[in-house]
Amino acid sequence: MTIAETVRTRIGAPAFGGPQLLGPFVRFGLAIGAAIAVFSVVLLLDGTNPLDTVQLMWDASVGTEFGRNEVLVKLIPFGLCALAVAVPARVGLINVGGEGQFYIGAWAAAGAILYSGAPGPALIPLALVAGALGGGAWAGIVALLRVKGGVNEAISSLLLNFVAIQFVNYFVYGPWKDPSGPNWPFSAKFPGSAMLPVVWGDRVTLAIVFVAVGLVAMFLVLRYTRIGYEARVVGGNPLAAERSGIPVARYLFLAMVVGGAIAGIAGMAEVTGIQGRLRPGISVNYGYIGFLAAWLGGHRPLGILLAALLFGAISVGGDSLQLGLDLPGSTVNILMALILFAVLAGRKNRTGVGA
Amino acid sequence: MTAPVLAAPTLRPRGAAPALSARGLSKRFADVVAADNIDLDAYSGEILAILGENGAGKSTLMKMLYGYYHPDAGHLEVDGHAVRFHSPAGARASGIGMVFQNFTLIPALSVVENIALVQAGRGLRLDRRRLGRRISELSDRYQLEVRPNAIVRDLSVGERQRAEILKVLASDARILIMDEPTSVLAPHEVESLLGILRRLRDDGYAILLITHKMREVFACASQVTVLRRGRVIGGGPIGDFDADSLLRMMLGERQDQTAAVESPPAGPMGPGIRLEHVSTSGTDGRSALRDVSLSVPAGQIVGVAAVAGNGQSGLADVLIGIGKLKSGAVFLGGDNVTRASPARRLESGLCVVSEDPVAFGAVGAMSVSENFMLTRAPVDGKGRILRTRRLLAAAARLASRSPFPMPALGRKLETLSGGNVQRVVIVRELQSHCRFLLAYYPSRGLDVASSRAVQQMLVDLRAQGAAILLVSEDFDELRALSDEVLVLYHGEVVGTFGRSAVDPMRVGQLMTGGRAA
Repeated sequence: MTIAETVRTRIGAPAFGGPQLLGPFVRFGLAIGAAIAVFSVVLLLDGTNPLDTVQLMWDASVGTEFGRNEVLVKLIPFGLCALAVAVPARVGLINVGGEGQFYIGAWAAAGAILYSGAPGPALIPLALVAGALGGGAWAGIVALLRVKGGVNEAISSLLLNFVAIQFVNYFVYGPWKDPSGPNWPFSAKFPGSAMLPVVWGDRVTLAIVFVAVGLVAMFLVLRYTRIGYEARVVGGNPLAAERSGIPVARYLFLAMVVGGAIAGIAGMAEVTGIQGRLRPGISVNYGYIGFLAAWLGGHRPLGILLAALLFGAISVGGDSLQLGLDLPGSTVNILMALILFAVLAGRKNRTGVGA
Repeated sequence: MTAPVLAAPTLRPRGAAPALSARGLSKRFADVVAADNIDLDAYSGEILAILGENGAGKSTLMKMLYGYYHPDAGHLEVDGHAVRFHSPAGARASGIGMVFQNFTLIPALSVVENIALVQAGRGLRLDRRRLGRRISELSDRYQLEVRPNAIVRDLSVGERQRAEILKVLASDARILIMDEPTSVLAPHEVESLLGILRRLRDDGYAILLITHKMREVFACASQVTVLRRGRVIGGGPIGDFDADSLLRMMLGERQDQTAAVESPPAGPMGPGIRLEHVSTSGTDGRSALRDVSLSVPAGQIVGVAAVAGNGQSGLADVLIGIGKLKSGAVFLGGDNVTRASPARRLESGLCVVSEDPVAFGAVGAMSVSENFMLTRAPVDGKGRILRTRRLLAAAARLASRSPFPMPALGRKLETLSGGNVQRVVIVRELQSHCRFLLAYYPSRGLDVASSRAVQQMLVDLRAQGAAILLVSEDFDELRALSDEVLVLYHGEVVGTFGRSAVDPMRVGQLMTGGRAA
């Protein structure tokens, strides 16, 4: 055994799948600390006491039972939208279209509930399927353009977000406007049987289970199935994948569509869990925050869960800033962006190390 | 800006201090000593060959000399003055230049622009004309033929290497470290590189040549230092050694493995790999295949001799089935697979050791065991669910059958050297499931013992009835193993030689375009 070999044997990394666990947590913590430090400087420039701000955000989110429940409420759209980014990311695709897929999923779910004429108990499953199909089909446009035409999926998915929002607007301002309402751009209210049941606290709906199932499924598929293995090969080296007989185009297409379907389910969960009707502005940048959470979480299920909880807490805490400190609610966007930058900057150099 | 246009170092008499000298260099990684108390002296006007197997500590030593690594102990002197390098920039400032195995040129820029980059420290303005003059003087003087205004992406491997050397010379290096410079070159390019090295030597450069090819050592080295397991085992003036004694020092107790591979010619055993009038459109700067017909019967090895960029790269995609043929047909074992998917072809027993295993044959972010699964056999869960434990056991069995040491199964491939990635791919592909094999440079980057082992694996596969198409840059290897040798030039088969009729001169002429000799 040569020296180099000896070195390698002694290192003894896990022989299958998993990454080392502790490193990411440490870097995660450091990055968040650094981001809060810079955020504090921004607050000081504004003449606000950063300690008060952080205290207030903590109290409003993690510090009370109400706050903790609200974080779980946010975990639903954030977690699902992050999964919608992470699944395509594992085969090397960048899905910036979560926002649009979310809207189309909400639209399809609303259509199924209001216009299918299905009986009450069938409404929720029907809406779930419709939301997934809607978001998946919307992402399918992106996937098709990519696979058949070589169109960059980051750009096409981003641009389709604006189309999706206008598409939904057309329906709620036009054909789907509630005829018995006060002429606002709202669809008719959903029947009670179409609303997701609350499973925790006052506002946490059954959709929290969708998040859990999604995260666990992603973990199991990636680690224990051939599809997951081949998807990781496609993401790791598409040229080698192609030369190993893996149908690369099929994986790209499928991953994008699955991502879109998950975002569509997030849209469905929003209209059937929170809004109770289709209207403009149902997403408060959920698609984009999900994008940040996916990158922050390294496109891995556990990382996504932590990142989505973190952004949920920041988002809930941010709402309190408006009331408590008279700061604009968007102040927390600065913090979210800073965290992402810090994490991206703290990543280890990914390009080949080689010897 | 008034430095002389051409600054060749002056030849120092042997009595003077060595241009570069190392005393007691040591480097540990974790609890392993990669370099142990190494001494060496490189004199101006001499070529010092540094010989050693993979993992003998050559790379570690070079990285210490070039300022990448800090030695844990020991010191360096340049021209008799103690130096300490904190980075490669420090080494460059002391006149040390390194020509890397994988080049460091930027593909999108021209040769001149690439060279200008390393001159960036000398003022803001780029004097193209002056630099161009300097480059052409250097290239005339040392016959480093490069088109200065060509874009690097369009250059052949040999030209890139010459540009790389020019880049180092143009930054006034006087001590050149060459890291296995011939491993990427075709036979005739090797000759011209050795000529260049000799001219540089005669002009007073001190050259450290890292290699494991004996022939090159005897062709140009003045001194030799042999490393084994991080230590200097021996060395001295080249005249004191012959190939056998150097090999013995390099390999230690394992020298018996270097005996020539037994290669009894076997008879053909039925249909193997066959191409009929195959033409492709070249992509990515690779040259196209033009009306190529060839046949490798089962139980035979057919060698392909070609200078880089003459169509041999395209053979892999044709056999695997990536991209469309312009015309022609592909047969494996008598079946027409022209329209079959890559997966079907691989399942029928096609195996490929690709031209660039890191780019085409492996996944850097995955472990050795996961890479063993890549082409399904022999480590495979055919099912939809991966039986992790069973796969790991299969991977361990595969690694234990390997005739050379394998990296730990859990190592990610991106942390391995090129030679070790090559070993992973070879161990995966050269197994009993393999009925049709296309192997590019199978022994590239491997030390002598591992190369022999790979050649033995090829011969064993042939004995089991595999049809083997062997593309190699090592002409001796081609000749020793092949039942037939084809020459490709500009995508066409321009010559075919039977086992006993291979004439190196004639092959060389055909490879470089001389049809009528």
